[in-house]
Amino acid sequence: MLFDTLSVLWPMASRSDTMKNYRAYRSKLAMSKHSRLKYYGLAVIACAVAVALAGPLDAPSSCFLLAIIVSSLFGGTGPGLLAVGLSAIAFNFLFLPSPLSLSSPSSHYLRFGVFVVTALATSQLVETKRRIEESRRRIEEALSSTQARLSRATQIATVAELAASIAHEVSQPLSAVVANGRACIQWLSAEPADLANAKVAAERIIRDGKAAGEVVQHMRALFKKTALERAALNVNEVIEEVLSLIHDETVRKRIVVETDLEKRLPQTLGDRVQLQQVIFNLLLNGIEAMESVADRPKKLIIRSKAQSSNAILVEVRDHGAGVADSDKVFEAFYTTKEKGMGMGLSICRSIVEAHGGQLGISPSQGPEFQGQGSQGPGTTFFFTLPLGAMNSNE
Amino acid sequence: MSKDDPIVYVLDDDYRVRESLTSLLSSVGFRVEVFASAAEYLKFQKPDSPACLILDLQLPGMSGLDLQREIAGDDAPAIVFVTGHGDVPSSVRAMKAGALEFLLKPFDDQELLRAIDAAIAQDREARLKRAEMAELRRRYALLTPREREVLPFVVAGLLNKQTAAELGNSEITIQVHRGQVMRKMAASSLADLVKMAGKLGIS
Repeated sequence: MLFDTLSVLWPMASRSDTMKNYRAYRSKLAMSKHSRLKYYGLAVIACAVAVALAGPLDAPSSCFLLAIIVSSLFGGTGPGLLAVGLSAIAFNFLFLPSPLSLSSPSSHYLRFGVFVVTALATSQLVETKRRIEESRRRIEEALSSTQARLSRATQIATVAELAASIAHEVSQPLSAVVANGRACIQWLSAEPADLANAKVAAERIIRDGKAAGEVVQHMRALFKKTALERAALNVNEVIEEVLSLIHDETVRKRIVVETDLEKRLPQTLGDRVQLQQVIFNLLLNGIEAMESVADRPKKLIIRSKAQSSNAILVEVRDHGAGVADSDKVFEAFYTTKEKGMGMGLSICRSIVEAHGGQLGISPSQGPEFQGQGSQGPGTTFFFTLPLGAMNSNE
Repeated sequence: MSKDDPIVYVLDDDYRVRESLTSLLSSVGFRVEVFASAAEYLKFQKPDSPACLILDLQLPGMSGLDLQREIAGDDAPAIVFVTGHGDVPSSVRAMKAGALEFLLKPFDDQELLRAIDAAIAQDREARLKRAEMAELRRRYALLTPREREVLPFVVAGLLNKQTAAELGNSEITIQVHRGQVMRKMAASSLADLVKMAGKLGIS
């Protein structure tokens, strides 16, 4: 059971999918504005083609109708009506016997009416279809973001469960070891000594000690087992992905998130999901550290920069209560939180180190924190990622 | 083994804990009975000896706290809880329901033995008290209805004459009843009878 829970500790893959969808959607929106103009052009071209074909085919009405349908089908109401206008003008001047003769005005108006109705009906049809698609996309988006949130909730619950399982799995054999050890001494110090029972007790000590050791080994193997899936990535993108994930949380807790991301950050090799995990953890820690802050703005700053020619530095700075023992925070099972199990930073450190980088801590003493009371200077966590991380140990 | 030899019941679903506690407790001279589930424990015909129950909080089926509630009130032995995940609410509940001790695994052997000793001492005392009460009730049951009426007046310190006036009897009748009460309750003095009446809740 313990190792089942451990294996669901890395559910962030689904989140990066969400991000991809979101980005595709954004770029589509931007594109549609640009292409709107193109469709007006299309309407003009369609009408020109209709003018060109109307003479040879001797079917001006059908040609213009076709041009209008094409324009409103692709461009919507605007280009459709433009085509109607153009068609009306072209028809009037080119295909009526004489522009000034009003020989058959009623059929002329009727034709114009048919043009307009066609344009409107076609564009409405297209518009309706687009709306349906849009709302479907929104629903899908909402669904996937709910899933992302759910997986985060599961993750947090899992950590607490994990702590309880580890404690239980180790404490059972340890209890037995202690009891058997005492029993062994008792059997040996009896008069006369009961060697047979003492031997049995000693054998059980070995067996149960090994069982406890196995639990520890399994855990270790599990943390190692998550092999890195390295790919070239921009750390700024990873940071933005995580920021969008915790956006709701920061709004709800009235936290001001400031980003200071170096624009031309070189790409690095890394496991996207695991780096998300690290940044996510550091940000979440910062948010939690500021939970009780009331006398100053809750400011969370994340910064990225090229530290030197061969490393990237990411800093997460909070404005919270600060950390009392900055060495201990990275130890497994050390926690200052009521509900934490003290694994977050320890996992972060092993991930960063597996990337060939370093994770560290320093008190937040940047200019923005000075002169705001001596209490709670906050904490800065930083990690580095080497640019040449490609051949570091696996 | 004599009737007064204490028994330690161990109820834990982990065989390693059962085995090790059997070895430990028998090495220090206790009689040990182990069970893997609450149902097994309930089925067991318990001998009439001082006892204590080492109870795991998390058990398959009926939990430790459920069992504690189930057997409360009967002549249940004193309970020492042991648990792998001790949370505050369940330890508070256990202690409120009369558990003697709440130990976290991995427990300290000395602490466990001390808790068992204390639990058995408590159980022994509780058993003595229960036996005494049973004896008093047996004696009280021998009294006739009239004698039971007289008893409160006697222990309240009324003279025979006053009691007779209250109950509308002759003084000599009351004197006879009073003698019967003293004899049947096996009271050596009026003070002794007052004490017994106090324990029986008569005043």
